[in-house]
Amino acid sequence: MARWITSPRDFWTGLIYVGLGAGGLWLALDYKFGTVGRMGPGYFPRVLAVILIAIGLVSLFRAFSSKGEPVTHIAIKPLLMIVGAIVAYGLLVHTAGLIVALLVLILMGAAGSSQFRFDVKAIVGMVLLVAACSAVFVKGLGLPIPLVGPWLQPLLGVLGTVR
Amino acid sequence: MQTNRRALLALCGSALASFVAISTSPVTAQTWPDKPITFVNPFAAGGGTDAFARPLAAELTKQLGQSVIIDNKGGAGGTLGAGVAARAAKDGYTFFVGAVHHTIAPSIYAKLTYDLEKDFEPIAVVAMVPHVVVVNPAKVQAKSLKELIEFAKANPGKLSFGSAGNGTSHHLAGEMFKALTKTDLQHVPYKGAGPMMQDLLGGQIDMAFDGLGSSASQIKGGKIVPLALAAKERSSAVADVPTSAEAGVAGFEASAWYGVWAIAGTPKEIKDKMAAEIAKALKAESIGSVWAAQGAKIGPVGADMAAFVKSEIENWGKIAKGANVKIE
Amino acid sequence: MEVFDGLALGFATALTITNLSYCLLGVFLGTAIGVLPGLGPAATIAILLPATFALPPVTALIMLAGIFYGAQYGGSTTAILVNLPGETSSVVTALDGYQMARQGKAGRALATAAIASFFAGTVCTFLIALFAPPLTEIALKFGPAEYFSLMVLGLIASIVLASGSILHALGMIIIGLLLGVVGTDVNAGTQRFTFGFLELADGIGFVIVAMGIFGIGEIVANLENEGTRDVSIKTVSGLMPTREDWRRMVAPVLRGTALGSVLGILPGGGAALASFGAYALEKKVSRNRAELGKGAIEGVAAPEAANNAGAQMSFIPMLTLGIPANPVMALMIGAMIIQGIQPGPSVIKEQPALFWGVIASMWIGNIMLLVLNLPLIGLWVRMISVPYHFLYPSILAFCSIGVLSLSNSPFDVYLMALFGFLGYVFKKLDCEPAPLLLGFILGR
Repeated sequence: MARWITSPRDFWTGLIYVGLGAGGLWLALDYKFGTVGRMGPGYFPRVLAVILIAIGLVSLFRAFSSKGEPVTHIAIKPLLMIVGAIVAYGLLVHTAGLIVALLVLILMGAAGSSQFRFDVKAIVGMVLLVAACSAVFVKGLGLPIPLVGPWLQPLLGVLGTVR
Repeated sequence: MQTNRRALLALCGSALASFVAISTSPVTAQTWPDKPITFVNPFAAGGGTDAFARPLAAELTKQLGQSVIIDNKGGAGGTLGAGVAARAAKDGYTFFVGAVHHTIAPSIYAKLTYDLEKDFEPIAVVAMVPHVVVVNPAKVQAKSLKELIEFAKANPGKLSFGSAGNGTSHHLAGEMFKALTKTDLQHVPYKGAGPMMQDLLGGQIDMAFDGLGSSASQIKGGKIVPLALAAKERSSAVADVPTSAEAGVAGFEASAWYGVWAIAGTPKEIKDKMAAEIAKALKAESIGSVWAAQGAKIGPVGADMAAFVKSEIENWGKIAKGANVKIE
Repeated sequence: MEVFDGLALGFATALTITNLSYCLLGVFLGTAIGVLPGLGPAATIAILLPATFALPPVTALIMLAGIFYGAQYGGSTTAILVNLPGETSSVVTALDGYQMARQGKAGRALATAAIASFFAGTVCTFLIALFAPPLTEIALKFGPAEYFSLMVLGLIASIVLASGSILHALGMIIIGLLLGVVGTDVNAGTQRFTFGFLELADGIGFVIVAMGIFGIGEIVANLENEGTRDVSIKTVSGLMPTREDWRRMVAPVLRGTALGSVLGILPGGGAALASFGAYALEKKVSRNRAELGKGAIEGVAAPEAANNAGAQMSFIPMLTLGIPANPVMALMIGAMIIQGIQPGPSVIKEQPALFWGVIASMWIGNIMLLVLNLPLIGLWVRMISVPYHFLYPSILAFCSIGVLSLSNSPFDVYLMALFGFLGYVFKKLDCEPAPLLLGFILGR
């Protein structure tokens, strides 16, 4: 971080606000603006986007003029693991089914913690959690989520013949 | 730890290999249904179709001995859920609960992710609810449809009508009325029929072309005045309300209707069986009273439904085009 | 004396063994789904609707109503314990409630929430009994101009919500308003900010934004420096409010109840605004306003009273006119139709036992919720004292299933992940999420 940025939090916030505002404004240019009396679909978003850019600019100005707190350590690993776990769950839940999706979500999510140990206690907890979720949400409340998705359906067939 | 992980991986690998090798067994119509059936309802819970789909599903569950699950996939005026249903497995365990919206959609949406006539095969129109012309008596003095049209002609653009949103059957029924009577009414869209009724009662809007289901009770309570039913026959729910032809606007007919489709390619035996089961369910006492309370009738089935859907798409298309209704 | 005859009839109806047991079942289910993040009363009632066919109409409605207001109770539990507001109304409760929990006052916060809700529920039951028809008339007079004024008022209130930088809070409100714009424009039918995704055509679900920004963002924040910092709950000091707590909660509860009752009868966004409004009011008038945002009991008592009052009052348009103020009420109307009752203005006259029975059951249900929830507090507090790295995977699992229950679409899951990411970034920059959520509610 450059030394002349005296308030880093204001700097990054300003940057995000200006960025979001500019993006919003650019998209909103496609919608009809209308008049104050008869506002078009583009009126409200464009006004909002301009205000957001203005706020962002003030924040950027403050980043160089006032003294503020630094941005503390960013937890990259937990952030990526948690967000990634949720995305993986979303990808798997309708394809491999809820059970597999939950296992991946919990394992990946838990791995985001530095305290995570893949031991018997964790496995038992995980199995109990998956079983409880399946029982409560799918069997109990009847949510239309497949426990075993189309990817793994054939596997069930195999197990069926073995039995 | 390391060995554990390796063992797990190996297990996963062998499992993967074993099920890739084995193909799915074909569906047999004889044993159908041997697992729960899903009805994809493309509207959010509590929305229009729920009042008909839920009772029907409950009755079918009783008859089939397998649960019939309603899967609410709301969004984009019912077109999102339709697109999802169009890609569902055609094994006879997924059906689609569509509505009049889906025959309007082709003419107002720039592009759709499904084709109602090609991706689905009609089973039955389970409920048809006619629209009814209602006015707020404090705002509109008209006692008959004739008086209303006279007033509207003398005061173009003065009267406002509410709808459940752009491109809903409420909206297009209004546009149809405008075209047939050559009047100029101002359209005020709402986020659903509930908020619209609220403003109609409060006098924020003058009139509406509301579905009989939600209007019937307000009509009975004397809060709003019905001028005509947009149907060929009178309804027992509001027996003294004249039909549009009786009130002087022949051809003004519009219904909100709900139907069940199979996914294209579903085995014929299963479709036939489902059609028979639905016909049976619709005769049940519990369903009869629900339908009667909302002024709903049972509509065309099978091939008749296909023809009906075709004509609906054409008719709504003409009105949408004439009034330039579009969702972009 | 009509009202007393009515209430007598109502209690006679509600106090049968059958109706009492279904009321209990309703509030129990409601509490459970309220506690589970994402899973809302609308989805639950939709699923249970067919099961009510076999019940008498009054019993069915009593149970469904119980699920609705029970969920309001349960929603505040997760908001306080793990900063995860499951309902619109519990966002504000999370602000001070979660801070109280981190200071080891989780029990006292939960008890305060239950007591405040109970008081508001009691007052509103009698307000509905006494004034339902005239209140309906007032609500109907609300036109576009009045809604606009209410929205402006809400925006002003949302700035007050900020406890840090006002400038950043203003930006967050605007971002919230912009997020509210996402979807199809009601007037012109133009799809705004949807990037071509059909899933966005109806706008973004509130629960998705709230769970992402609050819940997921909080989990990631708790995982940083976990080696050096203890993120679990401090030693719990007492489960019940102290004498001092009681003294401090009286005025906020009264103010919250009053505000919630007024806003609750308005259709649409009224009830959602109630808890935000109540919190903003406390920030202006409370003697301990400096503590708000840092775990003040007023910050739990006032919004909880307001949201329960608002929830209770939203029954008015449904009972007197047959008009749904929210999707849950729409489903209850569906339940009445299935039972062969035409919901509408004639219900009071034609079905007095139903009308008064449901009203009486609300008060009984509120007592049940109090009795049910106070003993549970000990259990909840023990549950969150397990090490955080065991607790948070379950929160993740519940959130992910809950968000899927909204419309069974993985797209919503990805959206939640995105908002979780944003939530953490905003947290690092001291941009508070509460003003964003209020802007979002107002913008929709």
